[in-house]
Amino acid sequence: MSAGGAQVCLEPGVYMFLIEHLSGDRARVDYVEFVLMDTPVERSTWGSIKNMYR
Amino acid sequence: MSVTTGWGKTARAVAAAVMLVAVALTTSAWGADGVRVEGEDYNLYGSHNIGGYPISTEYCGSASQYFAADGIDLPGEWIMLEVMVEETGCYDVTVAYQSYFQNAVGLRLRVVDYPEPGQSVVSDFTLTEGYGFG
Repeated sequence: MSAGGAQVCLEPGVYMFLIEHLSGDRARVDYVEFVLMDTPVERSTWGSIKNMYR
Repeated sequence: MSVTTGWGKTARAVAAAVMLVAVALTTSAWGADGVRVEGEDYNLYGSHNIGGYPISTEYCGSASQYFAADGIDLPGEWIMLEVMVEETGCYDVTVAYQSYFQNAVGLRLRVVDYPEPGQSVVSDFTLTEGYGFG
């Protein structure tokens, strides 16, 4: 197994997510892991992050 | 001396079956700082296959819990999964995968209906240095 990844910022909740194929050949997905990053998110910063998504 | 009636055996069998189903439905769990979602759980939520290899659950000796979602091989194909987030913050999302030897695969993580219903957060990434299928 090998691994690749991305980052995403979320609030508490239950989310549906897709793993979409963009390019290349066949992939077999073992698992997807969400690990909280060490850097704490200030409340004011969180507002900015949410605005970036809109 | 203990006597086991037919109903007792039936009750135990039902209880065992319920426990097995419960274990099967809770393959994602929180650790100290994250959660792992098994790829084969797409069976509970859905997938979209266009062609090529069919998307299916395959036994894989080196996979977590010995199964993986296979056949994601054409642009536009996807598997849907569910994650429960307990803490506000930014998460490193890691996908454990197999691909053809040294074959790079581009994937996209799309969190559906976030931050608002009808919207989604997308994050593209590339899986590199595939070790081949085991």
